[in-house]
Amino acid sequence: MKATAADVGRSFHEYLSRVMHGGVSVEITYHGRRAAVLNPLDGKKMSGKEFAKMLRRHKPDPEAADAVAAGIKKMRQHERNRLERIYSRRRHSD
Amino acid sequence: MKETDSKEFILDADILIEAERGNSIALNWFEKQENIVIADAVRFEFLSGAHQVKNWTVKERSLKFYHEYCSLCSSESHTREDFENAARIVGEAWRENRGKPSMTDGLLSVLAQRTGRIVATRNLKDFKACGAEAVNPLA
Repeated sequence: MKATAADVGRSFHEYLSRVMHGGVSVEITYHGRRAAVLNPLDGKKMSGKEFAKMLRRHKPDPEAADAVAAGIKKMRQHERNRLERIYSRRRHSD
Repeated sequence: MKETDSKEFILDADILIEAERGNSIALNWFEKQENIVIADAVRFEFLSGAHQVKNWTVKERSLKFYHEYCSLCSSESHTREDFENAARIVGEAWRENRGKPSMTDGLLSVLAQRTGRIVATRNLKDFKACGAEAVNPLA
């Protein structure tokens, strides 16, 4: 992920947590140029306990969850219809 | 889900959606897992669903959820062979009428097989059609 030096300075602990627990690298830019990279040392994976603990701070959002699910469903349906057309043509021609 | 408690899982997007919903069964299940891992294809699927949301504030809440929680999980990347193998197993499943898996289902299935993981999903049928071991943590 990318972040500006100003953002990292403001929320250093948040970025450090992402690097340590998420195993992500943060590319830091300064005045629009790549300046530094924060990398995890041991590539530690997020434990289920840590993930659950974080999620318990999240305010449940069924409205947003339903909206994301609907978007995925629509996209999958479109993909299915396309594959259905391809394979039904193949079955007929076999 | 006692029999699967000690195994390593890779989460499908529908499980991340349950986390966003605040589903307590999903949260309790996460708590029992040693590691939480997703895949690049899962990131794509969740984000593509979020970006389709027309209501700006709802979309922003979903993107915030992704960046604050999902993006912190370790994510497995897909190799070129994953795409080739996914194309084969998805094509075979459709041809033989075993299911209607999507490209993401195929990619996640081959990744799970390559890394020795089990797919945690609500959509067991399409993953089983791809030959992947899959469980529904909410069942």
